[in-house]
Amino acid sequence: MVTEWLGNAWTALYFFLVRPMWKWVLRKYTGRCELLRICYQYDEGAKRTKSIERSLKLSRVTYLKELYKSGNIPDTAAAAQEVMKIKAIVQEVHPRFMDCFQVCLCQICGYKKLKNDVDTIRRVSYSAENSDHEKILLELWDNMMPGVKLETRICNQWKELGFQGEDPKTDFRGMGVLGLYQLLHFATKHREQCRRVLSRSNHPTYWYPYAVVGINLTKAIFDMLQSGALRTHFYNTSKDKPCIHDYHEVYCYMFFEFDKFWFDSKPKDIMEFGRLQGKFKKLIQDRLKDDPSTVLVADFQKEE
Amino acid sequence: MPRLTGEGIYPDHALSYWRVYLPRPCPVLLESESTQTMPRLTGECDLDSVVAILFAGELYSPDFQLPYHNQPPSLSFTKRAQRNKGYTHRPWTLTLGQASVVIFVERILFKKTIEISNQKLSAAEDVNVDVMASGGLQSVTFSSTSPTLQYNDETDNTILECRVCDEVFRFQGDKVPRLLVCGHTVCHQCLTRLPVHGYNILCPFDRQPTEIGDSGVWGLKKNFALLELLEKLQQSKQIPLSRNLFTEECIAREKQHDIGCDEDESHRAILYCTVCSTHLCIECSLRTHSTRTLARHKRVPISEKPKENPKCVYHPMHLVEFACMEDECRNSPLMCYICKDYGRHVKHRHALLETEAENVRSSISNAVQQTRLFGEEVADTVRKLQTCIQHVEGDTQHMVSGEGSNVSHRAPGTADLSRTKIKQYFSELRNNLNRQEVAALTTVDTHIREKLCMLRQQQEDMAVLLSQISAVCHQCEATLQQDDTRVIVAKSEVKTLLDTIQKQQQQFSEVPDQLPLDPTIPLTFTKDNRVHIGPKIEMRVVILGLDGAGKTSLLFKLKQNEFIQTIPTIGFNVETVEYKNVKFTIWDVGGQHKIRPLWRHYYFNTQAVIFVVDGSNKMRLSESYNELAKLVQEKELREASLLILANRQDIQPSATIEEITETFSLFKLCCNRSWHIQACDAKTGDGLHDGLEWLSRQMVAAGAPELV
Repeated sequence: MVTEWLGNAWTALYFFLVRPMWKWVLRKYTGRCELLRICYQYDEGAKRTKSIERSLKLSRVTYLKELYKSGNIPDTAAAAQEVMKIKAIVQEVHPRFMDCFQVCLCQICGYKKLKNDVDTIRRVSYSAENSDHEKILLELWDNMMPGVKLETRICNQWKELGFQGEDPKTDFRGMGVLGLYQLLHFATKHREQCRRVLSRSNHPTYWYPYAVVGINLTKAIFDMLQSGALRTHFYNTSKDKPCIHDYHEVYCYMFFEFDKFWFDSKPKDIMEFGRLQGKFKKLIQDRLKDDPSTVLVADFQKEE
Repeated sequence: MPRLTGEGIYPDHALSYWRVYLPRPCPVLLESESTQTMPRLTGECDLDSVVAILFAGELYSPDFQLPYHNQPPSLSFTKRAQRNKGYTHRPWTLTLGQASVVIFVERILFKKTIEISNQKLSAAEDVNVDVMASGGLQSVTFSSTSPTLQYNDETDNTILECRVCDEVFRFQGDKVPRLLVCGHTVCHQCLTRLPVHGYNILCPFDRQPTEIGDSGVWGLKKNFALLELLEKLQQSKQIPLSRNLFTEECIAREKQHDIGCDEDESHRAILYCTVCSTHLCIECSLRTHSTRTLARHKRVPISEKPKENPKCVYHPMHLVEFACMEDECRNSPLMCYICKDYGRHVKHRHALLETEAENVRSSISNAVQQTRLFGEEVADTVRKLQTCIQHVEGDTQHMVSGEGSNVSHRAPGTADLSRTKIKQYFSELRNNLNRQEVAALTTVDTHIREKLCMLRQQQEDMAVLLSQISAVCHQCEATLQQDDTRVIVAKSEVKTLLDTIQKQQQQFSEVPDQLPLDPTIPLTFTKDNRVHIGPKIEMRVVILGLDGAGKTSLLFKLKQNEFIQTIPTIGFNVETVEYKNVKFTIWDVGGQHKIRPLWRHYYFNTQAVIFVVDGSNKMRLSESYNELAKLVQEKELREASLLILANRQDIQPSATIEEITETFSLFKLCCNRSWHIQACDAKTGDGLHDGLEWLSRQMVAAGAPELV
């Protein structure tokens, strides 16, 4: 109990006293503010953006805090100008800072926006009355099973795709239409890989239900997005705001990788899914955390 | 060539089945004019034999097409009134030109065959023939005025004659009876005479074709049944009937009838002449029937005297011959032929008395048989009841023991057996309880021993510590008393001692957390009367159900009291949930169709199964039922409690627990196990705690205090 209390005290002390003091020392010593130091210290990528983000988060300047909190900054250039003014950074002395900071800002708020957007999609639950949803579902069938005609909307054929029952609707409950969009994305954008994964999922011993696994992966990626683990990937891949397409691409990568992982693990039966999926997720998360240069892009995605 | 015409033998029997048999060389052709009257008979003299079948007024006369010659002389039948004898033996006169022949018609019961025995007609002669055929004991009697008539000794087995040529079948040669496909039997000779149509010959009676092979008529099977019969008849015929047949015994027996002889009042009649209708004794019979004609009268023993029908009530002159079939005449169905044709029963449906009587007899005998059977059944039931009573009460058998004293030995009945069984069951129960009590006491004793042992150990440790402390104190005090140099010398020693004490103190300060100072012994009784010592009972539970039934949502609701939209479970989730003093380890296994066969890996050591049914999806109730039915048959789950949760009660319309109980026929499905159905709703959590409460009560014996 005592140690716990001591730990808390130390944390408070660190943030309120030690860290600002250390920053002050560094500032005096190098003559640069923390943001500027980060810009010079790290190359472009996740490491730099993450550091900037952390710096903004812990900053005691209200404007910088606001920058961190706000999910949407319409004019990043103006924001950068404002920061430079606050931090007294002269454009002529540090010409790189402006661009650097702008990119980072763009990535940070883009990621936040993506989080919100994805959550919005997830919250839309699948509805049989919605003709758009129905259309997408049938489109998914046509893309996954070309040449096979779906007998009726509710039938046993869905089980071939790895849905649990005769009506796929029930399987979209947790992830809403997001699960459906991602399944469709994989099926249309990476047709070959998707087919390969689907056919492998029908392995006599190492089989797994394709669609339901897809929905489970949707959930896993969603969790990773919400926890911020995916920042490494997005900060590394795009200088601009990440869009929903990029997010879906991560899904494709994960699905493809999971399939490989599953077969490499040689599971006893499908009951090992929970354990192996946890292991797989941990693996990816560790990679994202430990290696700031991690990018979740497979070879087939690079070609495009 | 003369042509014969006959009219109206039995005008109203047109609808019956008739067989008109005209023996060779009767030149008669039968023609039918209407269905209501008997056929006119016409004939050609040059025809060897004619067999015709009249059925329902239609005449079937196979294979003879007769040339019609010039106007034939008409032949008319006249009746000789002998009505008192009914239809049988009724003489008919057949006249052909100047020739006339009297023929008798014999009716054969049931078959209604008319046989017209005819003899050679000769236009020059006056022929007057009485032909009477009978199959009785006496041989046929002929009375004939014509010297041309031959007595035919084979007449009595006319049934064994070929119906075509009227000659008796023989064992071999031309007259061997051969069988046709239709079942008719014709002699070999006649068959050879029949025209061949391709490979077929047509039956002369019903024109059905019979295929003959290359061997022709010789290939057809002989009628062996008929041959056998023929043999038997010949054997019986060899025994001549004479008065010697009547033994003394027979005579004595016949005399018992005590009927006077019609010839002599003083004699007792023994014989009855069927022709004269007289009762005779042997002597009078010989005397009165001494002439050649009369000798041929058929005489039978009194006991075999044919029964004569009574006279008609309305026409005392006539015998009752028919029975009316109409419902309105049910009370007086008897009639003579006058009643039938002109009297009270005109145009009524009727049947021959004998036929009807036979029918009634057979129906009565049937009824008697039925009644007997029924009686037997009743008797059987009574017997069974008696046996049953005996079984229940038990038998008392008396046995004689070796010393001669009567010892009654009692075989126990089911009543005693069941009493014994109950006693046995309860004594076993008591024994079990005693055993369980002993086991429980042992468990508690062990626990107490261990606990006390530990406490004492601690106590001893403390005592040691105390002595150490006092020793140190003592030493320190002693050191204090000493002079400065010694104090300095002892400094390091004292320091070590104090360090040790300090260490002990530190340990001691940590000890209170570990010290078992709680004197309570937390006891819980499980359902199987075991005793569980400890704050929590653990219970392994498996949640099963169809995919999308809400298993995972329920689990999270139980665990975190928060409703989340879950994703399909692949594999399983496992959580522990504590409720009161039970710690549930809940395994939530995916319900996808393909995963269901893997459920059984989770059955081992499972104390309870929660089966989740999605009440809002009535379409899948039957699928759900099938899974549950499989589940309850699992060996490993036999002892497990079954909690059925009817989920999604918030969504309307949802199947209520009553409906589910009904659809799943739960009372039948889950008999012999503890089960419970609970309505619930994962969103609000309604009913979940009731379910857990039930589950925990399945583990913990009811009424037992939770904590002692």
